[in-house]
Amino acid sequence: MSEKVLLIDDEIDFLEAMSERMTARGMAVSTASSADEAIKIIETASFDAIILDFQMPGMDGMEALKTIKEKRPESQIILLTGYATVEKGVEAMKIGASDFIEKPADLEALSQKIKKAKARRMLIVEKQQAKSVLDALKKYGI
Amino acid sequence: MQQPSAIESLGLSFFRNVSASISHEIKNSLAIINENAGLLEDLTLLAEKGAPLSCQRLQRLSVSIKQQVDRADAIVRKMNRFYHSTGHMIQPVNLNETTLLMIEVCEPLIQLRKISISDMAPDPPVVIASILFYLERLIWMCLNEMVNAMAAGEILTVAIEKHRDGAYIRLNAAGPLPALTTAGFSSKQESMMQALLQACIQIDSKNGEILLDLPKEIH
Repeated sequence: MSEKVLLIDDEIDFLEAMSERMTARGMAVSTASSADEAIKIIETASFDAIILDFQMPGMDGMEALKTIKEKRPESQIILLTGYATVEKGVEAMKIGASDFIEKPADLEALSQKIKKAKARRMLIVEKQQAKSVLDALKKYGI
Repeated sequence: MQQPSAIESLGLSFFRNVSASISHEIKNSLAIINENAGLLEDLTLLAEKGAPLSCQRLQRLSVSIKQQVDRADAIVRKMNRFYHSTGHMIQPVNLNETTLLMIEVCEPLIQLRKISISDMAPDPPVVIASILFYLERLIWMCLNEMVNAMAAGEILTVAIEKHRDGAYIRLNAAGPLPALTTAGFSSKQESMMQALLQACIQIDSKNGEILLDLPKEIH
């Protein structure tokens, strides 16, 4: 099954080109040119991976990441950053990102990260479902 | 090893912040060029397998790449103007050009906060004698403080006015700015910087204004 991806970046040319390339590789891609637009989208749809540009007009990347995680805690967010270092990576993980990649991004490397993100998310969702089943069984004394 | 002075530290921090911002802007342009180049590669591979190749599509891609090259070139020119301003000499400073450069340097923050700029610069331009790099930093600080205190969609007016003993740079929002405080300018290092430039900063949050008073010549 193809990966379902949400791309969030204020650069429309970048969104269009990357979206087209990802679609050609079999991914189901949605796009948002602002964090506000992205948050509206995730309220009604879930994604295997969310690619988030860390610096956009309006809501900043940190705030966007926190808001997305609040609404969709199982979200796997890959940060697009202009300057990637180990320290930045650790900082990104602490605030809830699952991975990060430096611009300009190599699409093959990003695709690998998206596949890993999908696997992680599936694990989280399966655990949540198993827990719900167990809770329901306990409730009825089974 | 000799440690930098308080003022030099402020200067280095300013240089670091502006350099990081400029490099991010260039990265954005490179990212678009990279994706468009990748798309050209993908289309070529598809064409080799017999898929039709749209000339219009190719033209759009080449226009986009050219636009980003022009954009990156403008950013590098801005970067060069900034890097060439570093130094400690007192020299004639064109306030119009310097203020405009600092507005351009602050552009990512201005866009991030969705602020519009209206600038009013006199003709002929106002020239004062000052230390260009530190004056740039002071103007940049004032712009940052104003933009961070403003709400999205507001208009910031930047006006340069000559007066008998020097010039004013007036930064004005349309109304009160309760978030505008003197906190950013009140440290010992900031006071030393203002003393070095013989500058006076007046912050009026009730009227949403920062007034930067600069002497005609520093001694």
